[in-house]
Amino acid sequence: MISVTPTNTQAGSFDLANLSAADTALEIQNLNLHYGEAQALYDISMKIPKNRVTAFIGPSGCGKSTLLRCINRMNDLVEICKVSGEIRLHEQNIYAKNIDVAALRRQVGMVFQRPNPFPKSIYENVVYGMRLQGVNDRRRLDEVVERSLKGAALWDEVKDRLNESAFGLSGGQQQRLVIARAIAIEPEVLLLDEPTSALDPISTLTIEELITELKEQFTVVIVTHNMQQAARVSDQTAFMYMGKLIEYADTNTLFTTPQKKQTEDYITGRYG
Amino acid sequence: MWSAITLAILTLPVVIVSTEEGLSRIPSTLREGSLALGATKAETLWRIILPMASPAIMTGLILAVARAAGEVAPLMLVGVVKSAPMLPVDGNFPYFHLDRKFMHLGFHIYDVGFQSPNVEAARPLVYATSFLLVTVIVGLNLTAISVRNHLREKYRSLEH
Repeated sequence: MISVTPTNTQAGSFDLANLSAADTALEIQNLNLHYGEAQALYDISMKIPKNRVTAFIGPSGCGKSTLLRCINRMNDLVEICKVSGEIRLHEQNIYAKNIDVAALRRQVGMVFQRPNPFPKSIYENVVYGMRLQGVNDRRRLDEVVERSLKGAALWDEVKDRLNESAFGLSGGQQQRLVIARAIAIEPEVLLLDEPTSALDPISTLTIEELITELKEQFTVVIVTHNMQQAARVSDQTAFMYMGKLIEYADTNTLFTTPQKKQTEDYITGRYG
Repeated sequence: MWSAITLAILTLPVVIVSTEEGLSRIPSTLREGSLALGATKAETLWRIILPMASPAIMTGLILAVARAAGEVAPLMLVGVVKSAPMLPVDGNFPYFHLDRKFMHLGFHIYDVGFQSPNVEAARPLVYATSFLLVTVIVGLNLTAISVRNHLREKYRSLEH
């Protein structure tokens, strides 16, 4: 039996069902998603607290990545994908008709499973988002680069080679570069889609420590297939199965005294 | 001008195929990464995709020019002349004079080799012209190959 002991105890954990508006970063209401005829998400409703780390866990194919990608509307890229329901950021439904999706993605950043730096220098990778917004003043960009790379725990390693290609970095460094790139534009929410599953254990640990620091500035939502990681890193955990939200509670409670049998079966390793 | 259009249509497949191949080599993860930072599709195209595909597009361009250089028959129909007093491109504004007559190496070979009264005397001229034409085409092809190799070097690490 796998024993999972949550190692971060968050003082003052939230009553997730009755989160106040001030404490809510995102509210998902009755979200349903279809890929053509097949339904992938069934009536998901949850509130995600600000400045905390929320983890989505569940077996492969349960829809956790799909749900994550709904939050910054990356599923729009898939033609046959149809979404109904609402996701509210700042009291505004991001699926409303006239929403500027590019502006949404500036507020909701995403880091993918495999590091995907651009074929540019480290400096240019980090400032890409700023340049998109028209910021080209050298001094300001230098500041942003230093702040972001420090925030991603990468500054000391690359400060002398900012103009070298991003491809010269190791996998773990590239992923931290991608995180720096995402936080450079100061989004409100950071979505991490299995950010360490392609990395070695040491890089994984570095990034997990980073996530715990990041939540001071950002609301972090992380998808992970590694339960122990969820237990180590998150404040709240949502367990999903076959497109449905089975249980959503603060991490301690979910891992020590789960309410639903399905949750208990998953965290005790009865099925992967 | 019509000859230019004719050749453009003729060499379109080469450019299309080369461009398509260049674009398909760009992993979609890069496109996603750019969009996730708040770029529009147009910005992503301009800032990430086109710079990465530009060597392939250039290769296509050079190959198209090389192919067009060998096409004589359409030009004979469209408007090449045996001898033109002025070039279509010169130092006077607007630099490209689309209405002037032009000559063509390939046509020149045909004309000198087969249409002149004294074929024997003209033969060295035919060889020289052919040699020039072949050299130009080989040169263009070699340039295209070296551009393609440069492309491979630059983006090699993208092929995971």
